[in-house]
Order: sequence, then structure tokens, then C-alpha cells
Amino acid sequence: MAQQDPMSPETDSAIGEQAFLRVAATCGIDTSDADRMADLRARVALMRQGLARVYEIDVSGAESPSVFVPNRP
Amino acid sequence: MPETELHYMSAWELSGLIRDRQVSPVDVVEACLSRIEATEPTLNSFITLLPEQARAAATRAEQEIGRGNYRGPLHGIPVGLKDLFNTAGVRTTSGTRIYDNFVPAEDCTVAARFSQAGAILMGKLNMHPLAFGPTGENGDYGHMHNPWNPERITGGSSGGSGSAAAAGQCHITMGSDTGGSVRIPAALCGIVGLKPTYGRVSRAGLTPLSWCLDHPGPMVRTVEDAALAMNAIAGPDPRDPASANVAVPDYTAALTADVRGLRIGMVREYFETELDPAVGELVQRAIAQLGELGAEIVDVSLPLYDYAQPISNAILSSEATAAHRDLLLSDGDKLYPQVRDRLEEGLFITAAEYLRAQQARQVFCAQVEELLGSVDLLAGPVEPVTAPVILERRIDVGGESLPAVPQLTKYTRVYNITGSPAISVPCGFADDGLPVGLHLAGRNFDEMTVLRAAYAYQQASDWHTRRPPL
Repeated sequence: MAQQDPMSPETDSAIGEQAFLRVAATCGIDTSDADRMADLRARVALMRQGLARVYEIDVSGAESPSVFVPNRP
Repeated sequence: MPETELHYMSAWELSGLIRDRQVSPVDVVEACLSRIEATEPTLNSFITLLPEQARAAATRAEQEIGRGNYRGPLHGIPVGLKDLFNTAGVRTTSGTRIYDNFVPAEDCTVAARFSQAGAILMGKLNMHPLAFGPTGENGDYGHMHNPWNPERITGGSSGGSGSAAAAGQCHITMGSDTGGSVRIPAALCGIVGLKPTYGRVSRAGLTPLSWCLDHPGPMVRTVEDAALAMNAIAGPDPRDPASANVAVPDYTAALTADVRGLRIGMVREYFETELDPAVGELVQRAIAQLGELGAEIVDVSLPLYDYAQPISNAILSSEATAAHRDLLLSDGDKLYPQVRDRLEEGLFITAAEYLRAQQARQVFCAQVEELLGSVDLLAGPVEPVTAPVILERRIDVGGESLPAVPQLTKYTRVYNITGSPAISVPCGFADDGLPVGLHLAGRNFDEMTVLRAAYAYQQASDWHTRRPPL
């Protein structure tokens, strides 16, 4: 099976292959398990296709809000 | 009075009878327990049933009322809580065996407020594990089953709350709604589900899925009962940092059945996406009926509608994974596979992407807010289909085979993004005998108008009086 780029389509801060493997390992996935990794790559690729659509929205002027405001009385 | 009438009576009707001591809470609880015994093998609504605790509470309520200490309309009324609402001394599993033995030391705010109002906790209700899924599947405690056809899903994640209310197992149930988890099972089970404004009902003591999208809300058989539940649970709470310090009205004042003067926007895009024609027709007929009752129905457009899913997914996935990362690392192999998969996927969204989705959310909210400047309510379907078959991963929507999860959440997520109050109210049955819900959403903190229109529609129809064949 051809290896898919898990972080495709590119967004402005996609992580690379090494980081992908590191993250997979930290969530307990055996990165030497080819079937498991192929499934993960396919799911992440699909998820990121949807995520890329967020970048189609013009966000000029919109702040990145945070729920946590440290100094609000 | 025969018990069979008590379990299906509304809390609104029962409250007067209990207050006047024509009916005892003991009889009401026994009626519900009998109903649970008869239907639970089919429905699987409960993870933990509390018969002895409920009987003892009913006896105490009877004695209190007998002494003249009537607490109000929920005194002696049976309630059920989705099993992610912490309950002191009663295990709270969040729908996974990983938390099978977790017994909270204190009540969540909602449970405490119901208790203060004299309501009787019947048990903890089944749910999609960690509330992360819209179907009502559960590999650990068994899948939930729709009272109208047990081969069909209840919807989720608050599936047990939907089936328990629809089948007369409890009078009031509570769910939580992050992408539709109150309104989806309400629509698919043929009951009323209200997602209040974000910050209106406290999240304190609930297992989080997404901090900025989670909304606790009542699931009941009538709009009156939604108003009664809101009167008990709404209001500021210092234990919840997102709780809003906004005055709480008497929600029963919304029950006027008068919609004259209201402008209701029928959102064009909701009817242009894939939609079962029978469901679309029932919803359009219900909106037209609101017009006949005196509301002005206008065609409106929400051009960004198609972006609700990607915005919601990015935020929900990131926050759910942040909330449950430690669980994923320690017990990932014990999680329901679909839930584990979704948590894993959230690890691959970067912080910059999450914040970009929050920026996009602001733009989306501005568009909805502008719309709600010209109309009082937005109307459409809750679901594009009636309840699908359990474990069906692809569903037929208007002749197209599509993935179930995004289809089931495509209308509901809009109002989790905006935080707006939104309700599902029964609006008919399709040819397959399954119920359909009308979706009405209003301005932030204006649950009154949402309830007002829902009640007017309910009073002009009889869908809420039909009972599942159980």
C-alpha cells in the first residue's frame, strides 16, 4: 500500500513525518504495526481534509480568542 | 389512578396533583420503576438504576409535602441524569468501564439544583462513551435502542436520556450537547430537547468533552416540562468559569401559545443540502403551521453554513483530545474503538490550526448574529433522516449513501458554535413510523422566544401525545 502523507493537505503549520511518528507513539500506537499505521494515516488525512476547509474563511480582523483570561477581575 | 397514566403524565400535570396531595410521589416513582422493569430489557436506557434510593426519596418527599413543605413544581418528580453528571455517592462512568468504579464525592451543580427542588433521582443514563459520538452506541454497557423501533439508534450522545423520556421511564432527563447530543436523540426519539445558551446552565461537575462547546440541557416529553426544568437548573454558578451572570426569567411565562409578531427565518441552506424528502416536508409543514398561527415566515440565507462542520470538528477534536489525553495514553486500548480513533485524530491538529478555527468561529458567529438581527428565530430540521439502523456507518440521505456521523450532526453543530439556544420539538412521523424534529434557534440568552414558539407549535399539534409501541 502506498504511504499517504498523513498531514496532507498542507496547512500553514503541518507537522512532518518524524513528528507524526512521535505523536503516534505517544498515544500508545505501535508504529511498527503497518496495518495500524495505515489506518491512522488514512483517518488523519481525512480529518485534515476537513480541517483545511477552515482556511477558506476570511478571518481578517478576528482575534484568536482564549477562554482563559488571566487578569479579568 | 392507574400507574400507567402516571408514568406518561407530564411533570407539569403531575406537579399540581402532587402539590394538592391527590397523587403521592411514592406512586409516581413506583409507576416509573414498573415502566422501567417492563421496557429496560428492550431499551437499555440506564447504566445505574437506583430503585431503593428513589423509593426512599419519594417517601421523604411525600412526608415533606404532607407536612406542608412543598418545595415547588419538581418536588416528587422523577429525573434521570446522563452518566457524565457527577452524583455524590453514585458512580458516574461517563459511559466507559474505565470509570466503572468512579464515585464522585459531590453532586454536579445540576444534580444539586434538582435535589434542592425536591426532584427524585431514578438513575444514571446510558450514553455514547465520553459523549463523543452522535449515535448512542456503547460497547461496555450495551447499545441504546430507540423506543419507536429498537433496531434503530436513539441518537447520541445522550441516547439513554432520549429513550428514558420517550418511553415514560422518567419524567425529566438531562443530556449534554457538544455537537447536538441533546437535540439529536430528542429528534430521533420524538421528544423535546433544549440546548440552552452557552453559560446559562452550569457545566460544573460534568465530564467535559469540549469546554467551549458543551451545553447541559433538559430532555422531556413536553415544552412545559423543559420550562420547568430550566427554572430549576438555570442561573449563574461560581463553580463554572463559563457561567453567565445573566438574570434568569420564569421560563413558564413563555408558555403563551402566541407567536403573533414573531419573525421566523427559514434557513435556505438547510434545505439545499442532502435531506430525506419526507423529513424535509414534515419540517416545512411545521414551519408553515407556525406561519398560520401568526408568525411571519421569511426566507433567509446562512452562506457560511457549509463551514459549520470543519469549524466544529477542529475545535471539538482538539479540546476532546486535550481533555482525555491522559486517558488515551493510559487506557486507550479499553476505549470504544470509534471514540479512541477520534481522540487519536485530535492529536494531529496543531495549536495554530485550533486557534484558526476559533477565529473562523468568530466570523461564523457574526453571520448568525446578523441574521438574528433581522429575525427572532431560525428554523430548519434537526436531522436529515429518521433514526438509522444501529451500527450503520453509512446512511441513505435523499438517495445518497453518506457517512452517518457528519450527517447526523450537520444541522445541530451550528448552534454549538454560536452558543445560541436551540430546541428540537416533535413535528411528525415519516412513513417508517419514526419521529422527526423541528429545530428552532434564537438569540443568546433568549430561551424564552424559543420556548414560546415551540410551545405554540406543540399546542397546535398532537405529536407529543403519541407513545412508542412498547
